Amino acid sequence: MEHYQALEKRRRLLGYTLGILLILAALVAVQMGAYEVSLRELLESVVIWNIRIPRITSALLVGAMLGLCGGVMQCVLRNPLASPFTLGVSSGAAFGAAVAIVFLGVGQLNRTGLTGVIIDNPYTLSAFAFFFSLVTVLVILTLARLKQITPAAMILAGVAMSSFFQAATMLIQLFAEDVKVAAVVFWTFGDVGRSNWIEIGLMAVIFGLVFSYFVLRRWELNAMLGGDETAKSLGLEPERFRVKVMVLASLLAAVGVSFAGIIGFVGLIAPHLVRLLIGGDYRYLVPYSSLLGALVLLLSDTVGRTIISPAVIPVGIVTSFLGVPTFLYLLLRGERYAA
Amino acid sequence: MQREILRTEDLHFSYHKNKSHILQGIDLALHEGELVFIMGPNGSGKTTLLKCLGRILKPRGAVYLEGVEIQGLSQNDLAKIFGYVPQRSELSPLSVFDAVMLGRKPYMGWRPNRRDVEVVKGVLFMLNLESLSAKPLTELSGGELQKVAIARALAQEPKVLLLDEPTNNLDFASQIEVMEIITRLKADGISSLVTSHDLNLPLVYADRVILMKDGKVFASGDKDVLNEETIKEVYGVEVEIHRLNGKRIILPKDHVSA
Repeated sequence: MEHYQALEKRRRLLGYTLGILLILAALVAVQMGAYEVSLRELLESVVIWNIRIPRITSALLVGAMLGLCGGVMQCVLRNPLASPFTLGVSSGAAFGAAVAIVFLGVGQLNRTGLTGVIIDNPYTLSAFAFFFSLVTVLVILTLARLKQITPAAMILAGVAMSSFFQAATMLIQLFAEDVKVAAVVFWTFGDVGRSNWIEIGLMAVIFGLVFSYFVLRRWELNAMLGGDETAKSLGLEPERFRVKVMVLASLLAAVGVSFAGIIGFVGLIAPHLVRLLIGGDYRYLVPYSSLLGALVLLLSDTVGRTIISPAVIPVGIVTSFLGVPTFLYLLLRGERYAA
Repeated sequence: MQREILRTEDLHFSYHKNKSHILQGIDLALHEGELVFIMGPNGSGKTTLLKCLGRILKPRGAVYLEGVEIQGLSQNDLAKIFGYVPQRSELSPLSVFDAVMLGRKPYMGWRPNRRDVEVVKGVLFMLNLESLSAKPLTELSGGELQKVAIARALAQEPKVLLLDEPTNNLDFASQIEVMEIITRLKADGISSLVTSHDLNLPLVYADRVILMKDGKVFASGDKDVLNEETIKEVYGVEVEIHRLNGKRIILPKDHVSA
């Protein structure tokens, strides 16, 4: 029992550490940027309150959503590769954005900045992105329902849907004016600086609700780890539970992607890092995947904002560049919990 | 005679509609504290029968628990009655303690309460698994893993244990350990249905034997059900049965190395 108590202690410690790191990272992020501020200026500055703090909050929320989404998808599909990216949620969203920009003309290119897309009507675009990311998931879930396909086949269906939407997006781009193509490309880069307070509020509410649901269902998630038969023998109805989890996780990803564009890798890396550190128990994975996702995205965005300041590198690019080497390093260290 | 716990009537099952039935009219009864072996060759329906009893598969026909039909019970209520130990436990990254705590899932509210923790501790103590509490399942040996699976099923405080080839892939010492654990449960009134391919195992441990062939009960009764004729008929092999100090041993007939 002492061993177990030590393990529990280590797990709690990681929670505190992540929490503190997150607060520190947020403070640093507020201060750093093209426009350096002292603490006193900070409270009075319009830049800070209208641009930097919304951006940081949005990074935290989107990161938490993606991290949590990847974590629970990996559980119910019993596949370490499951993430909003691999399941085609992101590609569906990109397709929706392309449709909105090219056919409805909601976006236009502003040539002054590095990420110079101005979306005239962001809600139309987000709505389209959201709709098509959910279409992807619904197709996969319908297949699962009708044909009783395995979790592995669900992943393959996701990869197929992903390819389909990528091809469809390219087809649209092929016939679109170059200005609109550029707008689509810029949108897909993934950037947390687009959201205003209303959108942030919306994301916070959705994240809060879905997060609470997964916290309540943490033991069910653990029971799913042993396979459907074991889950059934423990009193669950695994097929139904899997659909519920997938719908809610996809909702998180779809909301995140439709407001911030495509940000790869956070959904994959955050839960795996937690597993490497404290194992695969969903009582901890649910909160810590969210915390770590938020931390990774905030750090990446801060790096992206400052490294070639005043120009800003979209966070989607940074997450992949920083995330991949970190992830490979940790995997190669061969921790026992890998995958 | 002990009190009857479980009874099935005319149990049928097939994986696909219009396909031939894997189970074809199973009638059986299980008594309190009884250890019954289900024997039969591959494909005879042993595993399917266990899964149908635990409602992991949904059969046609009736299953009565203490005289009451279980059809209307929820999956969660069933989990308080049947503890199912699958043939191969899927590896999960949980620690031993948390994996066994999953057995309390059917009883659990928002979080495990004191009693849940007590039950898990008790089960771990009984199976001598306490020192492994913090170890992830991925680091356990086959024997330890099987014991954890049994511990989880026991944490469900079941009336009936369904064990699918619990001694499969275990070394000799672990086989004995696992069978001794199952035997000890009889004193607590827990009934067990055990499948096995080892014909000698029921000769040592079984109260009763059910011999299956092609989805039907071929014969059932005490250990004598396993004899030269029935084994020839069901498994298609010739055996000879030796007696040693009043115990019986089944060996292949005219085995080459002798």
